[in-house]
Amino acid sequence: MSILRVDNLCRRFDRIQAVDGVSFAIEPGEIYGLLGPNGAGKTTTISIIARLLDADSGSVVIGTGKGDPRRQLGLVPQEMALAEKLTGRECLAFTGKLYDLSGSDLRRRVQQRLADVGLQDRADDRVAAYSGGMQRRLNIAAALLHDPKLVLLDEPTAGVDPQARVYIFEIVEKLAAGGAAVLYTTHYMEEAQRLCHRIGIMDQGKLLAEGTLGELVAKIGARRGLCVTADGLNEPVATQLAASLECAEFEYEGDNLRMSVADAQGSLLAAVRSADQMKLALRGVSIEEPNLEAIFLKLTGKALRD
Amino acid sequence: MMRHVRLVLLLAGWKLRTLARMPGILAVIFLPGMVLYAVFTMVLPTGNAGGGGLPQMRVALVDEDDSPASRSLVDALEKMSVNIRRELREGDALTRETAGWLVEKGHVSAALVIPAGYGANQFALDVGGARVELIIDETQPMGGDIISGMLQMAAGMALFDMFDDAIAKLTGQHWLGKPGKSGTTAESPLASAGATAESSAKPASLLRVDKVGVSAEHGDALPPPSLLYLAGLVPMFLLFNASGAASGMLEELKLGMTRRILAAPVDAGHYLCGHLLMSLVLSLLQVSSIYALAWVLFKAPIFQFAGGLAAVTIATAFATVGFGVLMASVARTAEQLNSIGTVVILGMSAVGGSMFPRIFMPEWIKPAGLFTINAWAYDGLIDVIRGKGIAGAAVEIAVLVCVGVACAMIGSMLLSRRLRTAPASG
Repeated sequence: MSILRVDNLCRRFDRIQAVDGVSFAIEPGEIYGLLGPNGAGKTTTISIIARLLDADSGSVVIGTGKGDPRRQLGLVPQEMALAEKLTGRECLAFTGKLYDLSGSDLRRRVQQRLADVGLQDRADDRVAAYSGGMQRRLNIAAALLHDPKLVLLDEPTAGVDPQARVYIFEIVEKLAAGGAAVLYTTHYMEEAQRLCHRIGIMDQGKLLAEGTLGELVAKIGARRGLCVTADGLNEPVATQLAASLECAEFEYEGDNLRMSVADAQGSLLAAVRSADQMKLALRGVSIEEPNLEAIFLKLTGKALRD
Repeated sequence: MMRHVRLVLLLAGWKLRTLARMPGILAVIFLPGMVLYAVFTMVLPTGNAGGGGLPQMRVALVDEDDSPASRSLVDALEKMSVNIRRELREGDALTRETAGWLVEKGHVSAALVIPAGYGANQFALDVGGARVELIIDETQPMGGDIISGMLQMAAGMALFDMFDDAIAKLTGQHWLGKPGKSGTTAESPLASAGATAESSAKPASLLRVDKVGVSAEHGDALPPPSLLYLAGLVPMFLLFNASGAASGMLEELKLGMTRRILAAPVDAGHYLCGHLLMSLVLSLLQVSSIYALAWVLFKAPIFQFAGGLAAVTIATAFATVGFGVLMASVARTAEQLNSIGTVVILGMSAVGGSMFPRIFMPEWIKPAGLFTINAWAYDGLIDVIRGKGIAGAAVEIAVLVCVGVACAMIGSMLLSRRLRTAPASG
């Protein structure tokens, strides 16, 4: 049974249709990524799910749909929503009290969450003294005190260094492993590809496609890439090599040639043979899986970072 | 119900706790009010806050002499902007008794009685010169001293006038110059010599003033500076405080704190009530610090009016806090609120009596002040200071509470709506 069901959600701000008929569902233990550029409507969608914003139409059902849905979800906002003058422990205790936690139960949970995000040693330091990555981790911990079934993470790695990013990935993976459903918005394709079980691609308020990476690849008919690296590669040689593999789509730069192929395995062997026949000094041949960049480009006609 | 109360207290406590860790902000909240109050009270005498001149004094006149000399004395007083009252009501000339009654009731600052024979003894230095009687409010000795000094000046001016008139009769020219509004005229050949003599000689008493003290009821009497400036500055600093707190709320919105709080099982109503409570507590702490300073440093008798002072102060704080929420609901950002707030508060303070006491304002501008929180608070505090108690300031308290409720309700509705409809980025 889905923990979150979003059905035909719409929201307009003046002349801008921020969310336009978005529908998806998330199962327990699943990490669902909403991928799209800034202004795609990801945060608006999350805000409606978290009851921070009213939808013009459509519905959001969390869990069974009974009781206050806010008790079943934890929101990690995009902003660093922490009182910098308070300590990490005080920040978590305050958030816990908003969920009616108190006494020894609250203290135990605060200690547990601080340990979960690796901040137990800095618990009594003021948040202002934390690094950006530590603040991001505390931001996540604050959303988990009441053990929510659904965790909404809105660009949780914005502005953090690679090491802290990996730490955050581990926290998110642990959450899903513990049975929580995670809705993760990002505009970094690598994050979505690395973390998410399923991905929804958003642009201009619309959910253009959703599914696993494999499903998305199949849906748009993306082909694998065959990359050949050889000394002395030039345009006539590259064109000849691509023609020998019956490949019409190719691009080359310097010593690298990239070709879109239907049968990557067969093409790899054929490329090695052709290179040998053409007396090319081959340095490497590899197969590239279709990625979200290609999928996004295919769906929207523009690169994600445009 | 208990949960609602607990959440409001939790949110207010959290904001106060955060604020308590910001010494710089606390200094900005508490120090300017105390410093400005201390400076005003120490540097400026009562009523001298605005124009640099003496306050307009109201003096009841009983001229039993009715001679050219007595009329000349009164003319000179009027030239010094003293407001002379001659009648109890139309056609009913004042007597010594009714003039004294006016002082007792606080309707005038003092009563001047010019006894019969004043003119005859004006230059009779062998019998101590002319005498007048001044009925003063003994609880406001400064007022009596000011009028007494003005009388000496008036007597001097009258004397000066008479000499000049006498010389003019003989020579056909005003050799000493006619003292006008701007003092000695430039055409007078003796003017410069006279000025030199005045500055080098110690002035002697020209007029013998017999003071009679009565205890006034402080109906319309001028409060002492230590209390007068409280009435002016307290509303202004409460407004600044409320505006600052409202600006903090918009900052929380920008930083995402509000989103986090409202994503929990907390309603916008809890959040706004928490803000109102925090802002109210902070305002009362701020005002208490000014009152404490007034009591310790200037011996202001605030405990004499403790009940009324507390009632008007709480009502004013409530009105300003509500006004702050209204301003936050209109401004888009904290920066915008700070800019608009400063202009609005300074404007309200100027018209409402925080910068220049309403007591000394021209009558035509006083009604405009009633559109400001400052004026209602000022009038309420002055009523309390004049010993009218809570009942005497009931109208002002009621108006302030109503303004607070109306502003808080409209502001909260607009803010709640904004919280649920504002676009999010991404």
